[in-house]
Amino acid sequence: MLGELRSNLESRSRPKAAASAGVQQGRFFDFLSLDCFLQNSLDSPTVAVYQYSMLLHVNPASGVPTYLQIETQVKHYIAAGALTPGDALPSVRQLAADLRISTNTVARAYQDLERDGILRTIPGGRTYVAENPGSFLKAERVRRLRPYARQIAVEGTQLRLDPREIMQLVQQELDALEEENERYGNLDRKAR
Amino acid sequence: MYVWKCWRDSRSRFIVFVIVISAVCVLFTIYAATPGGRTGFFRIGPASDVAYLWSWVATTLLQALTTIIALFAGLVLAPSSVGQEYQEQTLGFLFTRPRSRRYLNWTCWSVGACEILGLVATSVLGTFATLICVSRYIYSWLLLAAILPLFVGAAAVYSMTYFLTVYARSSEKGLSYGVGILVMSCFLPLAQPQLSHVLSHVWHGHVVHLASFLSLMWTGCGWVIAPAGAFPIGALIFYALLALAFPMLAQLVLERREV
Amino acid sequence: MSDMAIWTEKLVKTYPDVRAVDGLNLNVPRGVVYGFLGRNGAGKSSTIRILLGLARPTEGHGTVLGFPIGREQVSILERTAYVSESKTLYGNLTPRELVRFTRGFYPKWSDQAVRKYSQLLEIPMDRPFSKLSQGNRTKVCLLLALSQGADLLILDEPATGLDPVVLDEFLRILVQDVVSEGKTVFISSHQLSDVEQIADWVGLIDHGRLLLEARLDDIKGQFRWVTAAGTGLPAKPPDALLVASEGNFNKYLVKKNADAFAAELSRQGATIAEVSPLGLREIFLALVRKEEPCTFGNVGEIAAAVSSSL
Repeated sequence: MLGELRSNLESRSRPKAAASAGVQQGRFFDFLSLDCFLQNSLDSPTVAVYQYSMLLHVNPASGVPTYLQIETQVKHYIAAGALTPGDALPSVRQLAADLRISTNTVARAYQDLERDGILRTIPGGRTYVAENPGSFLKAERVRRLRPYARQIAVEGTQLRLDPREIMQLVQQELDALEEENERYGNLDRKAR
Repeated sequence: MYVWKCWRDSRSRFIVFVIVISAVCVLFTIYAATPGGRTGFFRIGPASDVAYLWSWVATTLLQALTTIIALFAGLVLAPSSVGQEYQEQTLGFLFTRPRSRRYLNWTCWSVGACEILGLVATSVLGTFATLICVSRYIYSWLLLAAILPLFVGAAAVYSMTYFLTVYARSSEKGLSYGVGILVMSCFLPLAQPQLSHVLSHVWHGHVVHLASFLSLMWTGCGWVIAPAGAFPIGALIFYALLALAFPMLAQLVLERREV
Repeated sequence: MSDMAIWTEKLVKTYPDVRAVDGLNLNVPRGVVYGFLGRNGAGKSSTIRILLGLARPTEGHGTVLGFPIGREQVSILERTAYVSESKTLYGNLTPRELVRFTRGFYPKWSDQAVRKYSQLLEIPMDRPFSKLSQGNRTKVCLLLALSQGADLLILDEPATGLDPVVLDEFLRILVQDVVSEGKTVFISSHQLSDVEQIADWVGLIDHGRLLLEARLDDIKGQFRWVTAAGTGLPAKPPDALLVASEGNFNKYLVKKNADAFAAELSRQGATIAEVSPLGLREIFLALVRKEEPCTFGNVGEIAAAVSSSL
């Protein structure tokens, strides 16, 4: 039944990506572990085990595919306000060289993010955070989030948490993001 | 680049031989030409006999000493490049360069062959020049033709040792097999009559008397110094062909070999 | 086939006492970093020797950069840079002289690259090769390979003797100057952490056959540890490669459809504690550490599962 559910999710949210079922499976399924991964990385940002560039870092030994790690971090920084629309990201080549990972991996991450409308690449030039990440209609944005919501609901239920606790968790995460946004906002203000 | 490398590997050996041969030729000629030499240790005859001096020096020097040295050079120069490749296990590097194994084989061989030619030419020209200087008389330009039998003989020994090094995958083995065969070939003619006798029981055709490397060079030089009788053309051609056949065999071996 | 950097079909290499390569079907796309993994004696070196023309295959055929192996070997060698496992070069020559020797073979040689990399990798250019340490020897071999202007780099254990700083620098150079230019890198290495970091594709060879060949990201997307708690858990379920148990917990290593597997366990009454992903080392060990070599059925299953997103 779980498998059926999963394939329904996939076909509804990513009709054109049916061919890359393997990738999508990884995306949805790893949400939990991605979360754990992020938690760890935010708690101890100076852990020497990670490769780093100015902003992004990856842990190749983690079970999470490298390109997903990059995508998640970019999304997180945008959500947290560290990256604002119009900010330039390192070029594929530069980031790959800094992180000592293959350019194909970075290219894939950037392509995926661009397809989602989060990044924008000027032809023959740099990659920027898209001006209007919410350029999709509200209905579309809700549609995109629904699979994640469904996953939280499913996972939470499987872990025998009741709905109230699940909602609490989500609220806590939103609050934490809010806080981060403020922090980065303050930094910006101080810089000016 | 590979030519440069082959040269560099055998460079020191080559230079040693050049020095040795040149020194031997020059010193010997001068010594033989001085009054003390002629009547002293060597006792070659009346001081005024230039022709005799010519033939005597040339005979002893070219026919005897240079022959042996050139043969020896043929043995020693052969193992340098190829044998080294095997020993140092650098064949994996060499064979992954964009050159056919045929090219590598012939280049390596040619460098050595040119060195042998250089040695032989040095000794002959050196002898020739010193004789002229000492006796102030050009007796015979034919002396220069001694280069041919000397080169062919030495080249044949070189090619043989080269092939043996390639086949045996080692400098030492190649060298020792070469020495072995050389010694055997030099002594074989001694057993000629007995061999013919044995052979006649089996083979009723004409048994060809084949000159050994040494005898080719010896007779060849001898003919050049005192042209009488037949020049050993048959042996010359045979050994010239042999000198070309061995590297061809080596090429076949190298092309089939797995590293 | 010709759009692949390396392609082989049913490659077989037999030695008198062993079948080193046994029906190998390699598919290395262009412009990627391909990690060629396997135990010692699995057939990695034999395969590489065949690709380079150092050995002839008993059966089968293949192409490198579109050129058939064996027939047009010189064309392959013009475009391929190779660093051997033994890293032996001419002992009496210095790195500078080795550069001089090697550059004549390659029209696309870059002297500028030699200058740059000899500095970055800290190579003593005027010491005879026989007197260099293992690390320095590796560096010289890498220098020659990087400066060649090759379209394909075949590297056999490129990290031998390199200290972490130089290794890091080499990986950076590889990414920045080789992979970014669309060249292909074929690395055979036991250093799984390095391969995991830099590889796009992974090919795992065991007993002369490919057990696995897919994008590393996809492999990581499929393999999972499923940790379940409960009583009466299955001890050897057919879908699990490995089972580890401790007290009430059983940990199953599943190679695909982990969610279906977890659901099945759930249905049988177990509590799923965790479904977590694996690193490359764990996957490697799980696949090759078996009592007997993988049968073809096994191979087919694994390969098909993860290369669906090609």
